[in-house]
Amino acid sequence: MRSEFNLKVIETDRHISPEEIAVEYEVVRQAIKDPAIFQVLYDRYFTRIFHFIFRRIDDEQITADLTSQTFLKALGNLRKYTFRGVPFSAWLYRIAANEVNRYYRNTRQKMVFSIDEAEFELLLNQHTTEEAEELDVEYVINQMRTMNETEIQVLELRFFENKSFAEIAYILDINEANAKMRTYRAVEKLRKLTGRRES
Amino acid sequence: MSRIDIRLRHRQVTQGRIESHKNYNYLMEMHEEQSRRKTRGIMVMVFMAIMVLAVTIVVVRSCEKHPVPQTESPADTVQQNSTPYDIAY
Repeated sequence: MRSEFNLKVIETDRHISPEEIAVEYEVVRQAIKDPAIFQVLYDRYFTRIFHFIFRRIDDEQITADLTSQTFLKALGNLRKYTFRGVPFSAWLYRIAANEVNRYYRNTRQKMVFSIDEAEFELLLNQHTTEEAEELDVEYVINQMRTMNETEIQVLELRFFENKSFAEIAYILDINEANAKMRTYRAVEKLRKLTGRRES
Repeated sequence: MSRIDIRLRHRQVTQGRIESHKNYNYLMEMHEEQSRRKTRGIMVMVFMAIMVLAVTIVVVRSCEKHPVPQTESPADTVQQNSTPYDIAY
C-alpha cells in the first residue's frame, strides 16, 4: 500500500508543485484509514522538522523528542487536518512551533534561535546586494538581537525555511496579506539596522 | 531588546545523526498506546454517564413510590392552636 505513494524527501528544493500537494493530500486521507501510510510523510519531512526545532532549541536530544512529539500529534490528529492548498508540511510546522512554545512555557527558559554559520553565510550571499557585501555574519546577528520575536519568526520561515507567504500565513494562523506585511517590515528593519554601520 | 537568545552555531548536525533519531516503529507504538488510552478514557466516560443516568432514574422512581406526606397548611395550625378567647374576639 505504501509503495503507491512515491514522494521524494525534500531537502533543498522546498517548493512543491500543486500536483505534488494534491498527491500529498491523498496520502493524508489514506493515512487516516491506515496509519502505516503516514510513514511516507514522516520520511519526507522528518529532517526538515528536526532542523526547524533544532534551530529553536539548540539541543539535539530535546529536539529529537520534540520532533517525535510533533509527528505523534500530527498522526493522532490527522482527522482534524483541513486542506487549504498548502503543503502538509505547513501543518507540521505549526504543530512543531506549538511544541517548542509549550517546551519554553514549561521550562521557563529564554527562547533560543541558533543559526548555523555556514547556512547563514550562504543566505547572506544570496540576499545581499553588491554594496552590502562587506556585512559579516557576527555583525548581522548582533543587529538581529534588537529585533522582536515575531520579526525573527517570519524571517526564519521566509529565508531559512524558504516558505511561501501562503505557508507562513498558515503556520502563523494569520492571513496572507498580513504574512507579507510582517515579512517586508522585518526585512526593512533588518536592512535599516545593518545599514547603520556604513553611515 | 529581543526576548530571544540568538546564537551562531559553528557545528552542524550531520544527516547521519538526524537519521539515528528517526524511528517510525516507535512512533507507531506510541500512537497505538495513545489510541488505546483514548479509547479507555472514552469508555470510562460513557460508563460514568450511564451510571449517573441510572442513579438518577433510581432516585426519581423511589421518590415516585414513596410520596412525601403533605405538610399541614399554616391556616390549619392557627385554628388548632386557637383558644376560646380567640373565638370570643
